[in-house]
Amino acid sequence: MGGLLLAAIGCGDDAAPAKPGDASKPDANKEVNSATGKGTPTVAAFTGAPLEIKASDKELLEAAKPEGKVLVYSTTDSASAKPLIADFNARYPEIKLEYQDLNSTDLFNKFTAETAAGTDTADVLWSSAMDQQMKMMQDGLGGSYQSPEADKLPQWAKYQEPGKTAWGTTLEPFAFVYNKKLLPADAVPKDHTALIKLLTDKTDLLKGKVTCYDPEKSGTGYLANSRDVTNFPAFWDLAAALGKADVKLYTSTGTMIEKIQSGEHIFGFNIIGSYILPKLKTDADTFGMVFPQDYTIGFSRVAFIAKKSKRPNSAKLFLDHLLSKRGQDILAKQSLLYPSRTDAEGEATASGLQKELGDKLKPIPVSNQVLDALDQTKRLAFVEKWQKALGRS
Amino acid sequence: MTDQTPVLTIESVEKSFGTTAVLQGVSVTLHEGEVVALLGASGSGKTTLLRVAGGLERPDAGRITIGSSVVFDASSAVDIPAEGRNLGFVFQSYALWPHMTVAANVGYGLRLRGASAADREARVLAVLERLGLGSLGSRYPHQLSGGQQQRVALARALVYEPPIVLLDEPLSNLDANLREEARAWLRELIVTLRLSALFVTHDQVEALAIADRVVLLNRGIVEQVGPPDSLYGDPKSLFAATFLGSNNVFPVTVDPTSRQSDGTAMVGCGPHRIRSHIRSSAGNTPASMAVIRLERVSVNPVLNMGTDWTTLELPLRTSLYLGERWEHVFDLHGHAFRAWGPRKLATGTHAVHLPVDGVWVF
Amino acid sequence: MMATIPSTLTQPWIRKRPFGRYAVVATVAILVLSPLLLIAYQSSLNGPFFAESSHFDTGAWRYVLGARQFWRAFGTSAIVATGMVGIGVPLGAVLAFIMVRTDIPGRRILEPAVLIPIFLSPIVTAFGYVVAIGPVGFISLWVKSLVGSVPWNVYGLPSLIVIAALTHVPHTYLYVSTALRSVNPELEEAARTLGAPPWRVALDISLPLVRPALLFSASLTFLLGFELFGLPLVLGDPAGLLVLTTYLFKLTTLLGVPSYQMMAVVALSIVVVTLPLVMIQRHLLGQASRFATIRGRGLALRPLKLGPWRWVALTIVVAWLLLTVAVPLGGILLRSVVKGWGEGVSLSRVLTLDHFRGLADYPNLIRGIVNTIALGVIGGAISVGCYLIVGLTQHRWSSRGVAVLDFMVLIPRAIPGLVGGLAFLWLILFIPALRPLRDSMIAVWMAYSTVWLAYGLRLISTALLQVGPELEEAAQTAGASPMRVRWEITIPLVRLGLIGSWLLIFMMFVREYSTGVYLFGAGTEVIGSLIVSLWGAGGLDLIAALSVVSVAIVSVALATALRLGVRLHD
Repeated sequence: MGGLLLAAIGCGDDAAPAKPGDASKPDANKEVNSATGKGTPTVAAFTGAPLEIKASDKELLEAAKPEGKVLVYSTTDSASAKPLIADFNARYPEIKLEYQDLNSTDLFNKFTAETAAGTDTADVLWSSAMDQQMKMMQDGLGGSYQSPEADKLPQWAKYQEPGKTAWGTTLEPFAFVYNKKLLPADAVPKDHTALIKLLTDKTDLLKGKVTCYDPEKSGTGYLANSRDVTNFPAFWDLAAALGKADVKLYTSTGTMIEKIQSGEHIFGFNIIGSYILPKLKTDADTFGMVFPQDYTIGFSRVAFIAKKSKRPNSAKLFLDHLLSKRGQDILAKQSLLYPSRTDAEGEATASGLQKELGDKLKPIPVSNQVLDALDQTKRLAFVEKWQKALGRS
Repeated sequence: MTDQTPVLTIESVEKSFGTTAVLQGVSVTLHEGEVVALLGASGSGKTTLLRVAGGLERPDAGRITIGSSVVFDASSAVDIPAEGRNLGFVFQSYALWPHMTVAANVGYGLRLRGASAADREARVLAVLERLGLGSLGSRYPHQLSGGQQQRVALARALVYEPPIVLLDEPLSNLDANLREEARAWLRELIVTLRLSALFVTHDQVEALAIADRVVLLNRGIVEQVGPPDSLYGDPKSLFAATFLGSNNVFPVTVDPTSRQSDGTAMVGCGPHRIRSHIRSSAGNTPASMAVIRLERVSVNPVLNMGTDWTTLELPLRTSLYLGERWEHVFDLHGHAFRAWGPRKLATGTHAVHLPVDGVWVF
Repeated sequence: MMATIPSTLTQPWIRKRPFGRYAVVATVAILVLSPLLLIAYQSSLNGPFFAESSHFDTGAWRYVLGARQFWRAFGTSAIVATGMVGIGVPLGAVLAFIMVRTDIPGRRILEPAVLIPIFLSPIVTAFGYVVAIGPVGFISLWVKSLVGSVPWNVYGLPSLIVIAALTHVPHTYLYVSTALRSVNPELEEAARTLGAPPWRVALDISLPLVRPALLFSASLTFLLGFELFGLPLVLGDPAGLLVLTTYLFKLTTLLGVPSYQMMAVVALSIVVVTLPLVMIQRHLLGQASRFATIRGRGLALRPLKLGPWRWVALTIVVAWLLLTVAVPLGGILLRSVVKGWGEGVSLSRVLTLDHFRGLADYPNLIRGIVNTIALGVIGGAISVGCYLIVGLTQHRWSSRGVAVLDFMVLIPRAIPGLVGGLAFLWLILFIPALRPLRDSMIAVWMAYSTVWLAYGLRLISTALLQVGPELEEAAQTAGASPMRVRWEITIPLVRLGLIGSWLLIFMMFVREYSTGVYLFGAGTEVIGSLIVSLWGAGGLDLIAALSVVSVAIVSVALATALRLGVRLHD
């Protein structure tokens, strides 16, 4: 425990951030630094070779063993999380990982009620509803754990207040997605201004066939659109153009993807890129995705440990795992979730995005700033303005 | 035959369903070894009375005693339900349980009373054989004929030797030709087993044939009680007179000056005059009804009117051939007047004889 | 040989009040009213009831009742519900008459098929329609190639009403067909001899005789109209159509975090709709709220000969089956074996079994399916046992209690799943005695049983009504106590009704999700929760495959049961 405390105080990376494209190599920092208590897994772990556990990890593990399990509520579906879960189980066979995947509203409802009732509830919360996660932090439902792995996270992904910590584990972009067969390549807009032009010029083609999240009914949609407003002054023109094109609004990414695939819709605005990546592989003929060049908003799946967790050590173990290079690499390579860790390697990483988009990448920071999305007055005002712009009030 | 120990006493029972008063103060006593029929038209309350006795309906007022135990008393809130009255009850539809064999049906009452399996089997077999159903124990009800089902229902009610058996229209579901045989057979069985039985019927012949006493019910009230012959031969009311037998009923006016000490008087119907018995005070009013049973009417072979005012001269309307006899329909001042005879009659008027003691005026 | 046979007339007999029945009524009341009262309480607060800062506030009521959208959603729900009753109930009655009372050819195959929509999940059904007859659906594109355009729109109010009505026909069918089976065939034959064609017989004789079943079906269908969620979500949202449940869904996100109090208000508004429904139903049925049915078992069910009307009848049945079963199922089936679909996709090039492979790899799939089946079979059986107890309580009981039960059993069905699931979670969490139940499937089972009480009970009540009273009275007069009569006479005689109820409840449990959503844990997931989880993975691929699997399972169960001689009625 002492080592962890020191690690919490100590800071600063002592290894250079992994550059994207670097071949995976054994990290030079393999030796135990008892002051910082940091250990880094070897690549060999991927092949299933037994992992060397550092002394401080061992302490945590020993403390976690009597707890025996860790309960995670998450909005990441089981299939995407499967590689990570399998890896955790391989790494810590003594700790049973109970993973419940729920949609964000259900997660919020369940966790807050259980916490209020004092019954057994999740130890780790991992949700893409950033606003709800931060609200739970603010209401004191989240605890504090200065994970040694957190050092490798970019600044925007770190939320650290007295007694409260939360971590942005991914950075997933809101992209332009389109049906390749039905939208000619030269018409694909590069940025938001071009999008407005596209909608206005090609209204006949696109009428009733454009889709995006409904900010009224979808938390994700609202988050994205509220950031659109700050990043794009002409957003309300865009809204008007969407309205004229009879945009179809949904709450479910799955529905939107399905309809773009079938051609019922041709263009999707602010679709979450991590969902499309697998489709680009299996159905490359149909799906096309571009990141808007003027700015691309990214959201993050936020993770924190429950303050009243009955199994805090197991929780910490899991969180560490989630934030570790090993875990984040899995997210990048197998789950395709754009993990945020700066040295994560793989097909879909935040740093990769960073490289591609530079400062046009606008991550939603894991901070109290997100809470303004929960300001009811602001929300209702936005929604009203949105409806008006769409011409649907 | 009957010793006068009452086994079932029903006192002043009243029962209404909603706003309809079905029993309006009925009292009946069943004595040991006696067979009593509850006779009446539909709506007379007879079935309700039976069910009340059995504990299947709860009366609004009155008292019911079985043996020495009060099983129902409205005033002191005693109400022993059907399962506690230890009666046998035979339902009109037989109510045999379709999911149980004949033997299981019959043995049910014994099972409830804790008889051992061997004992049950023996008794069931005995009673089945008694009723001529010995080989049918393992069959199911739907495999039996109507007559057999009736006997199974009876067996079921009798096997545990209840002191009283209640039967609801026991023969009405049988085919007509079976019914006549069954009448005799049922009476014999009840008498031989020395049962006390109360049964409901709408069929007056059945009531007269099987019962030791008949209770005639009319709209919830006891009209008349008595042995069959007295009910048939000595009815106390117009209703009683006309309910039984085949009758000619016609309106008459009584000539009060002609009353004699033997209770007879002259009555007139149109131009006709006959002497008849005045049966009730109703006969004091000038307008009354006269009743004569068909079998008392005879047709004189010769048109001889006689002087004792017992013969009417009536034109013949039509004759019907019934097989064992002819039925002749005369015209009595516009009313149909029927008589039986062994042979066909010629058209025209005939002398129709009505014996004085056969004509009852109410 | 016994010396004497003991008499049952042994004094004293104690006059018993029906405590057992009262206890059952009380238990049902507690189960049914607890969620309702909790929701009502929540509606009058300004925050979650378990939050310390929450206090009494009429704000939620004022907001919702003052919101134009709420009233518009209410009106839309009412229109949909009315449409469903207007179209679905007559159609269901006609179907029931045709299948049960006539000599329509092919009855054996058609009858089970009529029940398929009952166990199809509504969201999956809706998507089936989109895939089949949506703007770029298989059938739509084919029609477009023939006539140049698609002459219908699967989104929007008219389609929603029609599809909702068609898919709810089986409910009416189930209750009306059960009732029709006990109609004396001579009543219909008399009409035939007077010259009435079959359709007149149906309209003038048979259907009026089954008035209670018709009224119940109409009430239930109307209520279900307010309960619709999956269909309006998929078919209504794209057209900007809002019904009460999707409005409720909106309220979970509108203000950022779910507003329980506003959701509670909306839920209560739906429950309030049931009140007049039940009252109207009881009023129309009159004092003798149950029609007596068959006496003895002698009346064989002789089917009406249809003659030339056969083909008309067959057309009606097949047309309904096509529209309601073949189209959406076909859509889902096709979707489960293609990689892509829609505009510009040539079907032959995209056939694949990948989705089924992907499904097989999905974590916890087998466990989920096993859990669902176990819940349906075992849980369903226990539920039916409980419903039997309630049914027996109402049986041969002339008391206000019967009316009270009749009203109460509909309430859980009236609470929309979104809110009902929350209510059950809260009850389990905050009532200490119930907490230990959460980790097992018992909590889920309790929630499911309560919600489907009205359905299961109705079938049992109908079966109980068919037991001639003399059969029970005969046992009574032989000396059997009321308990023995029930156990040895009544219950064996309604065996088939119980099995039918079990089958129906099994199908409902398989399809159910939202009621138990918060009560599942790792290890207790079911097909419904798997579908939602798959939804998060994006796209219909795996969901279509899973739906096909679950339909296959239920169909096999249904076919097996029918083969074994079980009939859903009689």
